[in-house]
Amino acid sequence: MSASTASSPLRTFGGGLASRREAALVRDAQRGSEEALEELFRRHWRRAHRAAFLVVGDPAAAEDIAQESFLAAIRALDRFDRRRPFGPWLHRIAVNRAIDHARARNLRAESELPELGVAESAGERISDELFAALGGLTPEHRAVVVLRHLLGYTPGEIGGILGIPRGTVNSRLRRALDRLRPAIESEEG
Amino acid sequence: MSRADRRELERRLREAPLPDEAGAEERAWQLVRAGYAGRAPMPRRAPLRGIAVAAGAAVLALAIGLSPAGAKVADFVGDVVGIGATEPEPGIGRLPAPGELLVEAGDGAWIVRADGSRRRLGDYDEAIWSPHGRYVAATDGRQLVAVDPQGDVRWTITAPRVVRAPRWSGTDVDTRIAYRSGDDLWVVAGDGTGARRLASRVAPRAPAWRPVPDANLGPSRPLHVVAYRTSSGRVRAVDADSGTPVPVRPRDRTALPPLPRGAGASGQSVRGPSGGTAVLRRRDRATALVIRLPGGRGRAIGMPPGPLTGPTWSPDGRWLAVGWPEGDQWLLIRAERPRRIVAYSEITRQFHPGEGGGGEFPRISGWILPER
Repeated sequence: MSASTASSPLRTFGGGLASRREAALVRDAQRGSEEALEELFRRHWRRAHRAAFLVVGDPAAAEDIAQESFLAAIRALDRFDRRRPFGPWLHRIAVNRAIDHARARNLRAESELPELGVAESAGERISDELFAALGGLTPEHRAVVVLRHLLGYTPGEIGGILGIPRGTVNSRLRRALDRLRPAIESEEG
Repeated sequence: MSRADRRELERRLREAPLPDEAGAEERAWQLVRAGYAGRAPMPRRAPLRGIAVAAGAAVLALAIGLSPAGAKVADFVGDVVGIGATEPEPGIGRLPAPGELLVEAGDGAWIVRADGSRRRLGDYDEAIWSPHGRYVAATDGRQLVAVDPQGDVRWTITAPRVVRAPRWSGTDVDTRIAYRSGDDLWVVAGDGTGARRLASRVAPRAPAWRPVPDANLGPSRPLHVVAYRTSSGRVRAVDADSGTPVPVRPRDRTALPPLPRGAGASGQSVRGPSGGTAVLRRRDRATALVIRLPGGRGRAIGMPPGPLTGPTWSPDGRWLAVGWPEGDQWLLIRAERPRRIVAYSEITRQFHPGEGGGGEFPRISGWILPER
């Protein structure tokens, strides 16, 4: 892991001890331990849920996407290579599903789903301006922001997760941060 | 954006409260736990081939004791995947029986035609054939979608919670789809109209339709009866049109997916079009496919180690399809003698191109001879 990703406060499972513990949890879960599964779930749910929410902007859809991602991960758990970290695998499933959901919603013009930036959750919204600015981005741009600045992946890792070249990740990040900057600056002020 | 701005952005993304975050976590955990309970634990580090498989077969021979009256443990998977099997072929070749497969690959539903060619229907979680193979009911989060075999959406409805386990039944002109949304059981007509809740607090298991009764048996019999398990494990049946509970029949219980019962668990007994049944039975670490043909004796075939999916009957009732995730293979097994297996390998890559062999193992949802 690079220094930049290690500095992310949310990415705390990269260390040797922690990753060995996680590999043991995966092994135990593969063998049928519900306790191990619950620890894995508690470790990873919040970030997967939050990531999905920031990409789709709809609390119900985000909950469904994160649930489905965990269920998909469990269905494939027996085939999971324990030498690899669990988090990136789960995040890959969740973020890609969130992007697909957001794209499909745009295509189907779902009237009953709130658009990103106008979801009603008074008092609990991420600051209005930042949320609105995120909502102005495409799902693909929101995803790179979330993967980089919430989950702490490097551009190279993000490229692997989304299946796009690193240069594309960097250009999407640059464009997205340019769009978000006014929201950050105005709220700081 | 300055470094200070980036730090501020990260802080806000990380710390901003999400609506009902704790409640969402607990709801998700209950579902994940239920999903986990429904899977068979992986056997400890079992080599997949050769001696270990033969040893597993020997263990099966001693321990299986699962033979129902008259059943005979006659065949074991001896090498690779067995019983006079052709060598596994990478990819999917021509199917050994007529019809088309419907496949759930985790992030998409696919149709596999008899010649092995495939068509992706869309980004769906689960998919099920309509009774005559003219359409597919698929789920996508809270949506239930009917698509034609070209992937064109015919109708979509949105449920209050995530839709799971759709089951489609009915006659040529009048069909119903039962499905779960959260822990409720719902039904909708085959044209997407009239969605209604039939029951609450149902178990996280698929419902099962009774066969549509012959119209000549009397007009008073309900046409669309669906059986389900309650969250406490009890079996119930309801007339889907009136919402009235009806008495449970023994066959309702066998038609429903069984609840997990640990090491000696059986899968669901699946009835084929010609009246035969097939079931995957697990005893300790050994699994056997038990096939019973009409008028014949039951026979058990040893299966490779690890979890299996299926079985699924071919439309002519002569073949069975079983998925073997650890071997990344589909095994197509002839039910009658002489026994024969066609094995297709590297299945995951066929349905997840560009993911380097990763992705969810594709599960065969149905095998049907479409009436188009």
